[in-house]
Amino acid sequence: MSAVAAVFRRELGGALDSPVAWAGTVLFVVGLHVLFFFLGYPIGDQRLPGFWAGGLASLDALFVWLPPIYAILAPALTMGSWAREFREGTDELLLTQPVTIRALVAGKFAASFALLGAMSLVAILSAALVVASVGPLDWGTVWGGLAGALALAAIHVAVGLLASAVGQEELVAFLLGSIVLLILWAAGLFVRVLPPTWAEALWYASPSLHFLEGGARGLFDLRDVVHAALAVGAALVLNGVVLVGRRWR
Amino acid sequence: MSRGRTSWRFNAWLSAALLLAILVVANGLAREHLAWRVDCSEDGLYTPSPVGKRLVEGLEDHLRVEAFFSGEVRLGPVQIAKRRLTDQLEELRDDARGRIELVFEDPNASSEARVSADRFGIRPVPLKAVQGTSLVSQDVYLGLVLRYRERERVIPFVLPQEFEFVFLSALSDLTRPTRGVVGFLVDDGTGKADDPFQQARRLLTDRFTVLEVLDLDRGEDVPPSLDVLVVARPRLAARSAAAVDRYLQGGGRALFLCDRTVVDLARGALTEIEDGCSALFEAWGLALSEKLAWDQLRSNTIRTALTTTDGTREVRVQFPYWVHVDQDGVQRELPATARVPGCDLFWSHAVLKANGPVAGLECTTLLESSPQTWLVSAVGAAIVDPNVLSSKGVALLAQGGERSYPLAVALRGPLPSAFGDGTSETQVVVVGDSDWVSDGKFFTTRNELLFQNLVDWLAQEDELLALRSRLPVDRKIDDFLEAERLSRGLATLVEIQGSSETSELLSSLEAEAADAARRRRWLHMAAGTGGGLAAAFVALFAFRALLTRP
Repeated sequence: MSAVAAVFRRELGGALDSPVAWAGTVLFVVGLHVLFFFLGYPIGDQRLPGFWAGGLASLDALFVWLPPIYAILAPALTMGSWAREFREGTDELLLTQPVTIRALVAGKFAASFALLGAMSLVAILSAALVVASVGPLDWGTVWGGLAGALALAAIHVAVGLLASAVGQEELVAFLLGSIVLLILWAAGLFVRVLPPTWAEALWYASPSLHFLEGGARGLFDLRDVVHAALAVGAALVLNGVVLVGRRWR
Repeated sequence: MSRGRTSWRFNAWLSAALLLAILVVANGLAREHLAWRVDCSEDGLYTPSPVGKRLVEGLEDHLRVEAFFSGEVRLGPVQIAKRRLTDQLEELRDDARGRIELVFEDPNASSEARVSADRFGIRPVPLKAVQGTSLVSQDVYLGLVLRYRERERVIPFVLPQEFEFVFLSALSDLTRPTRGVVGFLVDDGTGKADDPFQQARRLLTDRFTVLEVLDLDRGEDVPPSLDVLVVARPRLAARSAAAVDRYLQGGGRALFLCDRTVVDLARGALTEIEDGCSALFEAWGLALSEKLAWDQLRSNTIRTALTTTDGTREVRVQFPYWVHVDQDGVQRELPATARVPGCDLFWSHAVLKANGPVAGLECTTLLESSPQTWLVSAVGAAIVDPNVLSSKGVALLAQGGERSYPLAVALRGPLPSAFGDGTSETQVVVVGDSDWVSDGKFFTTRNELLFQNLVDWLAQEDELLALRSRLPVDRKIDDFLEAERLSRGLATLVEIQGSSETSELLSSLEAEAADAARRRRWLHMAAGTGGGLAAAFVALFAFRALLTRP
């Protein structure tokens, strides 16, 4: 446990020392708020107007933006996690430390997740406070949405971390992670044009659909929890497998 | 090293394949066996209602549900809808602890099932969707048959979003020993086939037996077996009023939809009618105003022709005789109106509390107009000329004396008899308009909801009322533009036709209000985003300080 905490401190400290986390937070919060308050969600079947245009005290138009934004942001935050170690050669040093690969993966995951989670918390709660100041906001939905957003962030960070280990270079890792996550997000858009068996399978595989059908509506569903836990677990285990492979190079 | 690397590659692919398999299988198992969820939302629309649970748990006998669902659905969204319906049905079956038997039939695959569906009146609904580059269409069956104690109810087509209400309404109807009875008394019970309340009757026939109450003026009585008497646009003779009074004194409940003015816009004609209810209302401490409500602030619009020097064009203008009761004007304490978003009344009379309160009788205002309402003479109520309407508005503003008026009230408790000395414990609702439930465009969705709620409340169908009330709460945000317009008096200013000075003044005030509203929106957003970022930075600094501490 202390090994995980040490890796967590090292990773998060490093992230906070670089301007990326700070600039990312500003861009994420401001960007998400502009999209939510003014633009709305003009994609797919379930288009939503911006908050001021819609005139309803609801965070729907904010939650619906989280999956595509996470699909870009999470790989951007995690792309360097392994790729930078590989580029600078510190991975070999790291792998010789008395720390298990499991602890390394868990520590790096926890650090990136804490960062993205904190950013989400700030963006969602500040928007919720504005909405609540002008209308009767359903706070139950906000808490459900927040929990769902954290689960969604965890999946995206785990996949981004895996992409960082597989891609080995930061740009490749970012592109790989983003493409995979954007495909998973876009699955929801293609449900209408896919054969029903595929549509149903994608419906249950896509993290964004689990989030939009569950947490974003204020639902706490055990099936969504299982889905998120399995997806995060699988991505982290594969991450460990990839790292073991590094020893054979 | 090479052998080790090959072995690692094999292990890596094997791990990935195994993890994928575990992911698919575990997700599938969770989907089937872990159907447990908590609905944190205040509206609670995504969990079975307590009423639904109570109904299925209270089943005394075996309920057989035959689901006529198309087996192979070629349309993705319909497949998902079918899956949700199946989940909802299975959830109810689990709650019923073995008292619900679920049978799935596929009319697309089996001719026998198709014949059965056809016999129950369940028909395929043609649905279309674009798949790839082609348009796919399919006739889809999503119908249900409920059988309980040799009775059956058919739901010809259902979608997940309406499933709960439709299914539980049918179930409630099936499990009730006898159907509720609603009587309609229109005019003086002459039984004209072309009265304008056919849609209202049809709306109730799913759940109630609807009877005509006729010939009260010839000495007939209102059937005492009625659960609710709907008195629509009455013109009661004294004998009929006495019969209604006897019915109420026997504990009967009634909904009065009264009018003293009937307007025919197409012909520009106005007919004064005598409702014959004055004696009843007087005894209850109520009086229906002779005059009509003119709501300057909240009214619906009407299309009309505007003639100017440039010619005649069609415009949409506010028509203050058509009162739009919004959520601020609806009683929130009474279950019948608690979740109703509002309603639209047309040439409505005020229901005034005339003689002070009647001892023990609780009088609750259900609907009221905005604070900028006057009672005006019915003369000219059929005129929709924008110039006439605006000059009337100006005259009323100059006159002053505006206030909000009750347009519907509910009475509960010992209702005094109008023709005797007795009182009887009952419930009555009086609405100062009947057009709002008349056939055609006046019977809006909101009006339908209010009408059904009032009948259910009077019939004491609390379960159906609770089910129908499971609508999302109206979550409208503050309208900054409206607030700014109000603060500049724009809601009460009326443009005088042909005066360029007032036009310019109004335009500049409108622009000023729009700017101020925009500023307020930006201010709110900036405060939220800025505050959030400040909090984030403080938290990140604190985090950093914590991490760098030795």
